[in-house]
Amino acid sequence: MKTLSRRAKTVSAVLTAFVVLGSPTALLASPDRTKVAEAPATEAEPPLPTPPEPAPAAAPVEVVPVPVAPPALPVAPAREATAVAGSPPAPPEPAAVATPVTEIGFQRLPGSAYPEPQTRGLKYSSLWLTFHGLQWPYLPAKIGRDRFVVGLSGWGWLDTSYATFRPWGADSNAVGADTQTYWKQQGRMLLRVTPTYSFDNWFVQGQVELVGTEDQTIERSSVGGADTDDLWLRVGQWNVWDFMIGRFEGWEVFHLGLGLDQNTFERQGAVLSSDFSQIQFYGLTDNQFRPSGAAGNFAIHYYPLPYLRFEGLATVGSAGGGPEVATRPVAILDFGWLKLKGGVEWQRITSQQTTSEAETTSRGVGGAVQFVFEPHIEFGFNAAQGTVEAIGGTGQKDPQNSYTRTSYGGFANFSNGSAKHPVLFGVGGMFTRDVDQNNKANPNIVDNYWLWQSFVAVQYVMFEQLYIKLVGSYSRAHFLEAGTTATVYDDDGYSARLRFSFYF
Amino acid sequence: MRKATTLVGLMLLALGASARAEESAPVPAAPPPPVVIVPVVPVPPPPVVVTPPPAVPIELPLRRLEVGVSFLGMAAGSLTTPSGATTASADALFAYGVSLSVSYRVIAGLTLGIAPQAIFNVGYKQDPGGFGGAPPAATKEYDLMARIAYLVPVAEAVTLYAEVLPGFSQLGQSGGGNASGPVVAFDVGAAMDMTERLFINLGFGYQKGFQSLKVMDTTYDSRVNFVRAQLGVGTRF
Repeated sequence: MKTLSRRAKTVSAVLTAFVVLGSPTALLASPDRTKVAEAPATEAEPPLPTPPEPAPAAAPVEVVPVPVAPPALPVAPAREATAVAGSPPAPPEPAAVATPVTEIGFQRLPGSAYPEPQTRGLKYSSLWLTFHGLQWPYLPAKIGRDRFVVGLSGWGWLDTSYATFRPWGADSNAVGADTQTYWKQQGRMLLRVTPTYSFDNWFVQGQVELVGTEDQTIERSSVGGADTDDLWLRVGQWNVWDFMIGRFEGWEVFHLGLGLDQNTFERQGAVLSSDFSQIQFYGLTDNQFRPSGAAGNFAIHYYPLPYLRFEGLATVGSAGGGPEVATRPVAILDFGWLKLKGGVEWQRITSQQTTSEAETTSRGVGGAVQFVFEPHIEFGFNAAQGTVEAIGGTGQKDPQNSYTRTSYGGFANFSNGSAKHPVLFGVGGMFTRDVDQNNKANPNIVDNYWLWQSFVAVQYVMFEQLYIKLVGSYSRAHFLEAGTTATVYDDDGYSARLRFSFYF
Repeated sequence: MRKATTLVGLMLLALGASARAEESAPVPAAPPPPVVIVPVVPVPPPPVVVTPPPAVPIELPLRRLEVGVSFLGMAAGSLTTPSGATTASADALFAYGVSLSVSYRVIAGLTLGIAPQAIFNVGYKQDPGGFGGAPPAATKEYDLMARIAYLVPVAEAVTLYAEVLPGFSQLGQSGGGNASGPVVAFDVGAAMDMTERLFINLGFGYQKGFQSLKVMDTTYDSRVNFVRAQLGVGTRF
């Protein structure tokens, strides 16, 4: 203990000496020390950007010499700090003004990083928050300059929701299990970091979305550690083409409106884990969302015209319990007021065991049409159909897991068009039917399920960045289970949800 | 240990002294570096340029006569009907309907009018007797209601409203005939102007029926209650 005490005293003495010596050192080292003495206290630490690093510190940054004008907000050069009576003549102007430079820095993504060559939708609406295949964050080089920028952005939301399920029908076990009520709060917040190097019209860009979660009951968060949404690299030419690899979402085809958000009761519908089928809407969505396992995407984007965009997406990995390969080409024709979106997809998941013949092949086709009539109305319609063919481990057909799914629906958003107090109403609905080939017990009866999901929503935006949204929903699910006779039951689900979102 | 600490201290002192000596010297004209990194890019404007919009007066619409039509979603219902010598109650199916309203704003935000409505698919989810049989066929309900509403403008082109709709109802019976009696609904919601004349509205509320059915000389309750959602469009004159 004595040793520790003595050591602490010694360290304290050394640190004290260092601080005493260091303080005048810092003062003397300050290029503005003369001004500090004269200026009011509030100006002693002007909020200027960080001074430029000496050349060696810039070594890790790949610098491409490009002649540029002096920076707009330079830190006061050293000669200004000594420009007082009796001081030596000013030294020669540093060569920095005329030397080639490259811009680097952190920046919050500016408005121009969110491209809108045509209207994306009513301001603050769900469609407006969609990029319709555009390259974003859009951080091109300035004319005559290369540019390296680490863009910062992100968003977060917190949902407080209530849901109740009221089933009825002939399957007493299912009815009993489905009679449930929930209160739930969950949230998700992410910081999006987008390093971008641009020169001429070219760019190299990466993006990681660092995620904090509150519940959400999804697999990646269940590990309890840090999570990511996006994690990708991209290279290409702005508004011409790019190649992208990593974890990201494919282009959206189905647009759902102000409701049916991910990880919500209205998105889940009146379907619980105890139900015979986990029916969900199909909107060309087998390969749209980020893969959940050790799988990732490759994509080529091509922009032949300002209003025509293509995505060729492929997925490779082990995401669904076995090796997976998939492709999902999508095209978007975007005239602003009219948007047409369509695509097809194919996915095959085989068994990890090479001796097994088990495989599941999914196919689908879908499209959407959306209209935007600024500043008050936007609406759209969606339709898609897909099939799933399942083969068991010994090569036999699996009729219960081989099915056809069909979804169609639409949405509409209405805005008051106010810049100061933007209010939006939203309505939407989606109908989905799954029919499998499970007719073993009775050749005339197969499993047949349908799901109706609908919502109404009101949204208000404060300070142009805080979104407050109230969503009420109704869903009904119908389950017909095949057997020697059909067993039928239904479930009604009601939910209300208040969401606070912050986009930054 | 003491020697080591002293040594570290001396090193720090030496470094500090050296730094002081170097940094207190007149700033020399540094040789031009081969490449100079421009300082951090100035913080750009936020994604959405915040410019104070021109002040827009928040006030009630000038036009006082409103005609509207609404879609009604009648959810989480509870239905009571005669069953033998008594009555039976059970959950009702999700019903839907349509409402027409004609209202006139008489003073300040107070609006009076009428709002007849028709509701379809009024029926049980399952046999209310609990025998496992098929439920009675769904029927219709017709309500003639008065509308007493109060409007409060809260934002540009947005008006909140609360309304009470007392009225008289006729509820069809699956076996024929009609139950009838008072009905009342309460709603709160918001209306948004699309143009000077056109508006849409969205509201939620509750509707309670007090209908009854007279069989022989006996009166039975035959009523239905719903949580109601209202999505409408209208025009002002």
